[in-house]
Amino acid sequence: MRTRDSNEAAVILAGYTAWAAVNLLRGFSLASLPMLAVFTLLGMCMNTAMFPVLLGSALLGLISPVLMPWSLLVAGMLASATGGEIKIRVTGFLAVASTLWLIPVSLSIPLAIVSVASTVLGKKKLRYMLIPAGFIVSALVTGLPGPLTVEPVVAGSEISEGILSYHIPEVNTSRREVLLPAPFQGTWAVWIALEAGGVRDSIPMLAVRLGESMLLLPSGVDTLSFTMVPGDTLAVTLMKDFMPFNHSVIHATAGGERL
Amino acid sequence: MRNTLRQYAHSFIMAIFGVWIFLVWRLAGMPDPGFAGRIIPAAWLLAAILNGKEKQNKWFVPIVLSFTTGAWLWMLYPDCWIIAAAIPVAGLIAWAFSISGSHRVIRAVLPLLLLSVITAEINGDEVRFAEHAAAVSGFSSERFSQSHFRTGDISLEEGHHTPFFPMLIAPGLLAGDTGLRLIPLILSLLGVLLLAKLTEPRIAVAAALLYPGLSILGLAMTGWFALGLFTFGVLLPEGKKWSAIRFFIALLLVALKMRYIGLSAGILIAEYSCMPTGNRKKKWLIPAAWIGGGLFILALDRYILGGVIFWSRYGNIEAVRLLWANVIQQPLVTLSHAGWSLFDPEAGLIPRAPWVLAAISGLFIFRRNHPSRFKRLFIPSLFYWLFLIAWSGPSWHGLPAPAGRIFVPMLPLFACGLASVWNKKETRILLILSIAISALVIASPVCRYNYADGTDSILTLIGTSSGFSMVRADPLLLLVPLFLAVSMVIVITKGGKYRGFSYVIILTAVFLISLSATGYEAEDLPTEMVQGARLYPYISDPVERFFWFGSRERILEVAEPGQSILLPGVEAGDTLFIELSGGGGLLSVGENLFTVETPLMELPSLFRSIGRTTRILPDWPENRAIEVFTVPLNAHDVNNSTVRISHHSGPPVYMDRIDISKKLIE
Repeated sequence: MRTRDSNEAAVILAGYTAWAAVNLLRGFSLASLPMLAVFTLLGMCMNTAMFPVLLGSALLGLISPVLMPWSLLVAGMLASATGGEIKIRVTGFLAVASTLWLIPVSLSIPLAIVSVASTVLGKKKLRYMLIPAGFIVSALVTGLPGPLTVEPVVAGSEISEGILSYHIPEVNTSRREVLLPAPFQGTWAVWIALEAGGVRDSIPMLAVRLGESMLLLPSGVDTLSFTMVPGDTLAVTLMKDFMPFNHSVIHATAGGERL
Repeated sequence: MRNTLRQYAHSFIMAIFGVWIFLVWRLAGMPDPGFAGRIIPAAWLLAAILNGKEKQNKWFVPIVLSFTTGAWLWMLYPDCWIIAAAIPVAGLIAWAFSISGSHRVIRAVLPLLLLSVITAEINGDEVRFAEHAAAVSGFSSERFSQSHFRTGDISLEEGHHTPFFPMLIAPGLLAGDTGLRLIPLILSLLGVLLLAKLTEPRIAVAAALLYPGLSILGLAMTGWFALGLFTFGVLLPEGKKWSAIRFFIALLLVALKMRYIGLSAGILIAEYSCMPTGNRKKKWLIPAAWIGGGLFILALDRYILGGVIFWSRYGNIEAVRLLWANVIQQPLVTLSHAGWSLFDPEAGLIPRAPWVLAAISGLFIFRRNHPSRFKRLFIPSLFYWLFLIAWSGPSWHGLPAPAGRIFVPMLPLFACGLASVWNKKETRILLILSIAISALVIASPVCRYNYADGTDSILTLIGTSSGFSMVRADPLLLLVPLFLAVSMVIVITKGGKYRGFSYVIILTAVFLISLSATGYEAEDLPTEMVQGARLYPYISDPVERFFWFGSRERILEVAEPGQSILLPGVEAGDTLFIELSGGGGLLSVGENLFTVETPLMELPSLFRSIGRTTRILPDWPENRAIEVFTVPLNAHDVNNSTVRISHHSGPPVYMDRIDISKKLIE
């Protein structure tokens, strides 16, 4: 590796070292391997217009394990589409391919195709059009890549002077299920207020489950009440899959009182 | 027609990108289509109109493509859509930099200024100013028609703010609640224009659109007006007749807010130091005349006008004593506050505005080239900062109102420094990081606020947390960021062959941030671990904790049956170290049961010296000492690698932190 005035090799090696240090102290993660490709890109593209995005992606990936796949794919796709030299595009492709390899690939085929095509295509303007075209095809035909983890989120809860309240995050196609465990002793009356929307039909879009019973609800505003005992868990699940022009979302608040 | 199209081609392309953002948002089904999914495309359309015949900068294609890819992948993790939404906002800031070069300051700032105003709820001092403005002007809307008491107010009628700023912004209320920010918006723009006059247009734009400037850009807070007054004073020519105007500006700043008294003192000291040598007699008479004049005006206001201009809470003798105590009795603690004001992740200057490091480096050049102007900027800024720390002590940050706002009056100094190193590559890197932070704040408005509890909103958004915080960490740890910051300043100053080191420093800092904090802090416990228990105090406003004498961290209250913590990742043979306080409550950890009784703290002698007489503090949770309880875990305590910590009986138990010591492998 040649080090010129801008010290590309130093940048690449500093990135590798930071990657190694994070893996040593946080525990080795195979999913972080494509970070090496992004740090290589960072060194190679120091004087290009894509450098700011690459820098942001590299730092985001290093700081946050949960956002790493997203930032790796953004950096890789960008490099494979806008890289002036073939070595930059190939490195970008490697970052994409090695990340796609580690996540469910069912809906990622358009990403892979776009990355391959933009790596081998010579014409700059054509390459620029590939990402928007791939996105449109993906959104309208194959669907967008889904969440990396399908585990439900557990809602936080507070009991204050015999009154229970839950803090429930927004449920959408990226976070499909939220669980409300019973944090109390004895028998309690629990209510949940649901506001569901962002869809363009009246087909049931969410399920509320408690033990063996389940209720399917369409979009709209509903308030339900239950009797819960320790060990019970109330589950709210979004039933809608991704559809273009739909922003399926459930906002919920819940609380309870001892009976 | 063809010519017109050619001339405005770049504006058309920007408008098409605005439409593209709108469409992509909907095609991808990203959350918040009704607000963020409209205002960000609208800001791009506005930018396209304001762009005129300017050419697009080279960042445009990467911004378009990375936004599209980011939106394509938004479902990978729940918060990815916010990062994707921040990309076009970052593009707008880059666009503003690129067009501001040719004296188009207002045009460049406008789209982001409007985004800043729209995305920030009326908050903090704004509410008090609005109530005060409604009271003094009679232009009261329903929302602000009644005054509410807040910590620090003298009485319900007499707040802790001077009436000058509320009176200034009051006419805006004629347009209703939304008019509250009308005059502050104009004042912000005036401030930016004055900065442009002081430095260069693009530097002024950078100062406005990056932290700390962006924190209150267009909001009804005093920072930008103070900046404008200060900058105006610096821009005045040298000479005796202008001294009177500078004296008047110094008085206006005090009338604006007592916090600016350090800035005012600095303006007068700088004025004095910039006077030509010779005529010593006159030179000594001037400060005496200033002090005499100042006291006369204050007395006139207090006793003739009834304190309508300056009166707030400067009559409080305890405040004066506290100033003495902070500086003389606990200088090292006060020094640590100064350190945190630079490096704390939640409210510190550098984490939210890394570009300031480049500006500090540039100040050495600026001082060489403009010694007099440097003096007029540096002395007031330094006095402002020192006075703020010495006076406010641990509450220097002014949270939960927008983090970073207290540094706004120091912007003229940093802007001049930035202008000297604008073209350096290292500066560009720090600017990129600063743009990313500003863009995240616009895309995720909650990131504008923090609660001084150790959980920074930006770090939380990107899914990480840090043990490094002013309420948690040992102040000696400040040496680490100080070393990195000084290294960066040296690298920027030296440049040349040291250039690559800037990346090493940034990556080292990021590496340190990325190290997950060990143990569990009460505030960071994931929701799946906490059942029923709530944080004390029950509201997150740090004002509630300002007057705590021990730790200022929030603590987890375990007080009722069922409230519990399910601690994962433990095995039989491990030992828990739990930091607890309480007044005799029984806590169960697995099958272990023990009483948590920790002593009440005595009032620290420092506070006795400033006039507080109570020796033993009231029996409130924050006044109980926190002690470490050691709990060895046996096989019957652990169920599926989880141990349950719950309240058994008696008074509430408060938990601050849990550390796990793993058993040694036999």
